[in-house]
Amino acid sequence: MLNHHDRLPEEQSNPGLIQELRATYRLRPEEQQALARVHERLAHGSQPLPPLDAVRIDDLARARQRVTPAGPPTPISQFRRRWLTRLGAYAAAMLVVVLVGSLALTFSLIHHTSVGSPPSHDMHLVLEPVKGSHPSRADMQAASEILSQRFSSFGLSLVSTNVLTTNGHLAIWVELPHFGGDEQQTIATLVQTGHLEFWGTGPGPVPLNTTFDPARYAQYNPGGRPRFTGRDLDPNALSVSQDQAGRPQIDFEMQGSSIDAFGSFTAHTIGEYLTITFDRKVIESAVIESAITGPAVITGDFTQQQANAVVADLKAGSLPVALTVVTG
Amino acid sequence: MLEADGPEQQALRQEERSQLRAALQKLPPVQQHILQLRYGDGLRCAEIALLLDKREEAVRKLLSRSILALRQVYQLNRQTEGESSC
Repeated sequence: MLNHHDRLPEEQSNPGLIQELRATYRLRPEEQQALARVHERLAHGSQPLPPLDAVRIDDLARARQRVTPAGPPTPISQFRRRWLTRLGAYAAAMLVVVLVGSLALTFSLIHHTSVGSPPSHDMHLVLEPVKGSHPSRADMQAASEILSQRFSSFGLSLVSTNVLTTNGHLAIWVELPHFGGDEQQTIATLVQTGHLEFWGTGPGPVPLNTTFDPARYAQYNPGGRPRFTGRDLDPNALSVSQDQAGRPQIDFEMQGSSIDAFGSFTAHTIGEYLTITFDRKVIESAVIESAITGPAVITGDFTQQQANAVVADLKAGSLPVALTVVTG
Repeated sequence: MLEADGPEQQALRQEERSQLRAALQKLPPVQQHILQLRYGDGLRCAEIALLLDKREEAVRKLLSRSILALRQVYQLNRQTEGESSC
């Protein structure tokens, strides 16, 4: 029943209409009885159903008479009953087979999981713009899409990336499966801005894994800008291979007009060092032995997984915003 | 004082109910549904809100609009019927 607090002004001003409406919806007596019976059965679910009254039994008998004529069972009905019995037996056997099969599969999966294959449950990351930057939602959306491509290129399926607002700040929420190995380092590489830059560094090498300072090599790089960047690379030619010692290396090739430009640059700097940075961290610093007009390699100091992550970054492109992992 | 309906009154009431049912069917499904929940099933606004995953205030507004719409359609039907029978 509706109480007074629950009544609407429209109900109070149209009492006649509401009364008629209730009457219209009111169930007919036989429907009410049927509903009451259903309620009763539900309330006493574990108890046997009450016996049918005489009238209903008569109705049932009449209805049966109409469907099948009375008398001894015919051969057809016996045949059908036998078939039904067989069908029941087959169904039971199938059920047992399915149950046993699924149990075996479950145990096998548990066993495999416990002997060292990577756990399959998901993890999530929250990525925020680095402090002091205020990217637009469009930039964050673009970054989210590039990240999605990177994870996919790295070989992870079922990764979802979404831009959301937390405490008034934009963030990217990433859900991905565990993939084993050095997950933290690999994820850190996959969410890097991903600027690959080629610098001339004169007669001396630059130590690997140090932060590159363009100001120190301004004389070899006009305007303090890199000679080439990741955009000059052909994404289809990027791959990870292994050198003769089995160490992972990144194969690359220039594209378009950069092929000739790189060939010309390397032809004029033979004997000098070419230093390659990834987000300004030195990943390669090697002497140029001849003009490079075709495929080349970055030997670096990568694990297989890191090399794959760098290639995934380069293929998908650099992010329009620098991100930092807030939770992972 | 209680009085049993005469045959004429019963016929009149039947007619009114069938007009109301016709008016109900002309309403959008969401309005029909909410009226059914309120007056057919006797649910409170809070219960309907829970069922439809809406805020109680939204349910009250929807219900108010549905009643007004029903009244409008119902009255219009009766007027049209009255005019055509003259």
